[in-house]
Amino acid sequence: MRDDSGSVVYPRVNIPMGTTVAESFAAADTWRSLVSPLSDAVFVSQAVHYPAVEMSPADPSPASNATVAGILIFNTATAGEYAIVEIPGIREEFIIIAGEGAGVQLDTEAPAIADLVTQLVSGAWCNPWGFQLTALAGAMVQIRP
Amino acid sequence: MAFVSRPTASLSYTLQDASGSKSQININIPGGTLINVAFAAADALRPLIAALTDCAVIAQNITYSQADDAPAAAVAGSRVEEKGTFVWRTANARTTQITIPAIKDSLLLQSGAVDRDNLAVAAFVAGVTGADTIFAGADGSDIRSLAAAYQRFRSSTKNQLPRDR
Repeated sequence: MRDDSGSVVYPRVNIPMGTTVAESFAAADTWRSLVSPLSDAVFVSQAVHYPAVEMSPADPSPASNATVAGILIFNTATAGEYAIVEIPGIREEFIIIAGEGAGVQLDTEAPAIADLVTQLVSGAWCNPWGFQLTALAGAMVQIRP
Repeated sequence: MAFVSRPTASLSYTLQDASGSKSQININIPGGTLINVAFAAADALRPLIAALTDCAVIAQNITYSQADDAPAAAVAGSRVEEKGTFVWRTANARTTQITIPAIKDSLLLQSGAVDRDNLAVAAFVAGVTGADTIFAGADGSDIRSLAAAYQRFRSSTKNQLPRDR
């Protein structure tokens, strides 16, 4: 919701976890109709979140570093449109250590990377604009500040 | 003035390394994907990601969004820091709270309490507590009745301060 000064806030209300997306947005539309007469601010967007928490997470590796990320770049079904998937804490074993691309490029022939790529180009995944991922274009490591 | 769905929904995984630092993986799915299909896809992707990272995957979130393509202007002088706080009783004998930003002054009594006799307030309460509504507390318990409703001011964040100050 946004007020006259342009300030934005995100009021929340809860619904049961099993609610479908269509039901959730229908409830959100109802919510807006009930709240709009009460507020001088206006609704500008709405979102439905389905959060989940791992109750017994595995311990991260002692060598793990979230700032070292594997960057996977994908082609999409539309020429000129790309997608990027980042893997924080990419394992060192997947970084090429000799030859061209040593220390920068990821080993895209490693089975674990190939398995991930296969899933991401399966048709279920897209970039933020809806362009479906079709093939891996490049993979490298990046260190974040 | 219509709410339009974004073309995609987003899936984010939260990862944590040994130092406690967190980072996220963000990826998108078509906006029309059913939530159970999205959960299945997220479950399929998670172990494949876990095989590549030294971090632990500790959480995930799937978000579907809509935006108003032509939002109305807010009432002149409105401020989101002035809130209507509504405290509700839930079916499991706990309470939950919902806040309405920039609560209209016409809905308030002189004391700062919300006027429960106001028709718009009564409609809001009925809409939240009605038998056929799905609104719930954070633990999923059904909202049953209104316990308290009052005006409350929150301090402004830096971004909420006047730009021409």
